Amino acid sequence: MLHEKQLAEQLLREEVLSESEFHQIDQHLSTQKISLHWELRMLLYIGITLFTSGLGVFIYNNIGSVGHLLLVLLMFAGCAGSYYYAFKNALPFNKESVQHTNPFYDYIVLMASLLFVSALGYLQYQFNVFGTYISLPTLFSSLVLFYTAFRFDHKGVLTLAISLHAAYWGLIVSPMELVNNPGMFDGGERYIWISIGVAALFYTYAWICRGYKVKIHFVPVLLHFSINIMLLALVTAVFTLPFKGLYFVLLLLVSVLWFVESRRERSFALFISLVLANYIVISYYILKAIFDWIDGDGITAALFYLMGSTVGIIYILRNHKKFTGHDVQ
Amino acid sequence: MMYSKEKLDAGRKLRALTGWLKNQLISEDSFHRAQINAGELYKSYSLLKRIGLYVLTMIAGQSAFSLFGMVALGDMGWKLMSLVIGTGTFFVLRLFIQNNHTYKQGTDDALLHMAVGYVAGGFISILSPDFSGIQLSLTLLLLLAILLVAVYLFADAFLAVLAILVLYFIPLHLVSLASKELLFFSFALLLPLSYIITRLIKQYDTLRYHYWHSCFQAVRYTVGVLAYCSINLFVVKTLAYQLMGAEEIPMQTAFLVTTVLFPLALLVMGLYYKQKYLLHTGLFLFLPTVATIRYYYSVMPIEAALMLGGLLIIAVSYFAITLLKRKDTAFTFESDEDEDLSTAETLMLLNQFAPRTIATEEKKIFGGGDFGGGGAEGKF
Repeated sequence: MLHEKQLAEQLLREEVLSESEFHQIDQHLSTQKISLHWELRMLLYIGITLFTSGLGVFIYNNIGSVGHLLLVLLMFAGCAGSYYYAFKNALPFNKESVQHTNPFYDYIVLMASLLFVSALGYLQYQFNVFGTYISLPTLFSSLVLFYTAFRFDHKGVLTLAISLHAAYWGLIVSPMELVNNPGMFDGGERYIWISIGVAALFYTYAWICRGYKVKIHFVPVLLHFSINIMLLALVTAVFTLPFKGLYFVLLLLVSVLWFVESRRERSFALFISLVLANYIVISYYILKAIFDWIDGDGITAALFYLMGSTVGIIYILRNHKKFTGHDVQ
Repeated sequence: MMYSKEKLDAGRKLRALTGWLKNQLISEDSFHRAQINAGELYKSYSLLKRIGLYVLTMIAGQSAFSLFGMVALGDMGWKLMSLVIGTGTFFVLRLFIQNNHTYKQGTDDALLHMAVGYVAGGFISILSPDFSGIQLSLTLLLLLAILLVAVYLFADAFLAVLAILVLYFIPLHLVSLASKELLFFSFALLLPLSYIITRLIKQYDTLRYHYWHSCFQAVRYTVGVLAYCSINLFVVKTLAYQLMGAEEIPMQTAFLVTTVLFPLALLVMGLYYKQKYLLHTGLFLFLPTVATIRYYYSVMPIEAALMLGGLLIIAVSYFAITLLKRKDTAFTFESDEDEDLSTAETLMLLNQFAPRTIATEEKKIFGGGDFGGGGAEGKF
């Protein structure tokens, strides 16, 4: 910590610390090492991203001259090599969280997974091995990645498996895609119900993990995907579909469930998601009513509403312990 | 300082004592001798909560101020109203801090930024309506004073960065009034100016002024980037063209060398002086360095550059991690308890590699699409 030596000197003067304790702290600080853990991890991640991006461009540009079969074979060879290394050096399976001592191990597991997904997709695209069932490679990839995530305890691979699983059902769950294309959930009633179904599926997976006490630390990841897909779908439904009331009631019902989950998981992120989703929808109805009922001066009432309601939400968020029962800041 | 220095001091002591106790460097008796009641200290909020509260406060504040828009005021009336609103917000913020024991919790940040924005906006629109000439420099001086007062009172890192940008801009603006050629050469002064500021910060970033540590850090990063701008080949060439219409500049090779050496020098200095901010700035500045080199000297195709660059970075990281694990140095690969970027890493991964297109037998569930042309028309 910053200025620790000066602080120790001050506390020595204030007679909080004894001379011997001060010397111990002084010695500890003089030998204390500076951690470059996240800097090097980020660097490694950037390197892998640059390399795989370059490889992608290279394949795209040279597909004619290199040959499809050779490329697929190279990708599968890389994938097999990485998986071989992963299995050979894997720690025994444990239901709890497992931390590998080798810092590169996680990245090799990640590379194996990425190469597998690319190779399988390429195989289908070029050689049509799954025939007309063109979504099957996505499902198969997601299942293999789920296995990889659970076997090697890799949260990153788990998120990829979840995104592929959602893709099999027709959903894109990349955060930036949502920012760039906010209308992505606006695909009609069937799309909304598929989204709700996928969210329910991830929620079921979370319950299975809980029930069998397998990789409990994966539960929040599954819940985050589940709640965000569900809320986005329902909010979109309220804004775009007929039978708005039905979706609104459904939103309120699932909000109760997510509220219970946020308490159970002690997760502020789950709580804020459901508060904001409900606030947006309720505000939509109230503002609509204001502009429908008040002729001419609706804007003043709307501004008063926005001011009051946001202050209310701020109060709820600042004092969320009263609502959620936990003190996660 | 608007926040309670006693509480901030106590919080700092508590964090240090907790760490020492955990490392068994002090006894429990010593820990309790400090008599710090954790319940009375400022609570630190998570980034998510701070962002949420910041955005909501902004909405609430802007809604409240928009209500004033209902009142019919003249042009000058609005400018004065802006000052009144800004000053009023300062008082609201002060009351809020005193009554809610708030410290950097999103709400106070938003109120502060709104207050400074309205006061500064009011002054600028009154004193320098056309935003030019010597008036602008004087107005910017006033803005700098407002920002410095705000930084002194609220220790806000964002406003500290703004203040340093204004500080750099004022002399450059004054020089630009005299001659554009002089302005071009003045950019070279950013480097020594940044050095002076960094030295000053080093002098003041002590326990006595720890309340402003985040401001000092933010300024360090900012002046590092600004100093780099003054020696970056692309920036210098662009300025030469924009200001003097010069296609070429003298000593182009020297600027290329400085463009490459500056980030490297920061990395070496960061390792030598064990300063993380130098390492971070050096690493970050490699991005514009690579972009600059590629812009002027594209020696290989993009895919080859990406793959080679990626392999080089992987090799450097591998070498560094292996070295840190094997050799006893001043650095370690063990993770710091204060930092956890695993969520950020997972999000980046998801963003980079999650599918963006869907392969499915039934495309229509994605909302369908209109198709027209070639004599065909229909919904798919």
